[in-house]
Amino acid sequence: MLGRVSHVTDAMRLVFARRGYRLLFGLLFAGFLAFYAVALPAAYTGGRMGWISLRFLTPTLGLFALLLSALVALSLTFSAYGFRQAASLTQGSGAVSIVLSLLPSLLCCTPVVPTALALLGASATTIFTVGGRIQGIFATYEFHFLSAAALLLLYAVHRGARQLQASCPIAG
Amino acid sequence: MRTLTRRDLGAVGLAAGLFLSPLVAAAAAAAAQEVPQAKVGQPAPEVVFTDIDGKERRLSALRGRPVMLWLIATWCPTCQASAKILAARARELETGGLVVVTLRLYNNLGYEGPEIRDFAARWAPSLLDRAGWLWGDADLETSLAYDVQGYPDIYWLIDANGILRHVDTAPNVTFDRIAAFAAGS
Repeated sequence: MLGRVSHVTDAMRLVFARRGYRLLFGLLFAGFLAFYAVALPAAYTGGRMGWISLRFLTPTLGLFALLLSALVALSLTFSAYGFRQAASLTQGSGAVSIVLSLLPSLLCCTPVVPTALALLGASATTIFTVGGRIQGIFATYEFHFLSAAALLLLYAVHRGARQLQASCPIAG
Repeated sequence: MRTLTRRDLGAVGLAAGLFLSPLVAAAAAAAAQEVPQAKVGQPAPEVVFTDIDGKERRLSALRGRPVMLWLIATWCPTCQASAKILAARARELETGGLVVVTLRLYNNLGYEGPEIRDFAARWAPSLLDRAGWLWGDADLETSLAYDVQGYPDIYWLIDANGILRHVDTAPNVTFDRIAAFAAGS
């Protein structure tokens, strides 16, 4: 466990030694924080996103917005550094986790699921029952989805750090 | 990568069947009914429901007063947040004589959740026994008439003549629109 943390801290020391990457991380963090702050409360606003979302940003959602945006920014910063060092970093789990983190907000209590089912040609009654079940699951397990997204991002950051360590000389 | 065997496919089919069978039954039952659809500008289709005191109510009996008919699924976070806002700002709606009828959608829209009384007691306790606020359960016909797309949260504003004037979602976000309707009517 400590070894895993040290991989990440070593990689952060390496990457953040350069001012440009500190700046990149800051910009990414700010951008994703703003995005998550308006996107995560969408389940409480009938899918509406904007300034109104901030009124429904609960402490829990706020913490998730901070955590997820920090992890996404870190993962992308590692990728950018790796790219410049010609060390390609795998980003699959990072992308999956971003999608996962948005599922409860986008699929619960918004027109997305009913509209998607209608486009698939489902009957009104199928939309009514199947759509409700899908939305209900996302509403009920919102915390679980967000936690899973955070864990996946942690894994992405850890893996990125390992790959950087393998391909770049990290100063102890 | 391992290829799917017949056993895998059978398991997937069984899971899908277990998941879908009650829904298919409900869909078949509903499909057998001809349901008039609510449309803005048209008279509101009749709604008959039993309120939380066990009393049978009719939407048409409220003619002469403006009505907000709100259909919800009790697991829906928007509905919970909206109930809190409605409770906090109830007086703004009551000044125009608005009656708010909140009905849990048929079968809670296919996913389990609290009963309507428990929902009201948790998220809007001050509105539970308040005059002008009715709570109950919508039957399948009402649910399909007013929410054929299956939104877990949808409300209709009905004028004193029983004409549907506006439809929207998320009363917590669109509260000002509801308050303006209540005041204007």
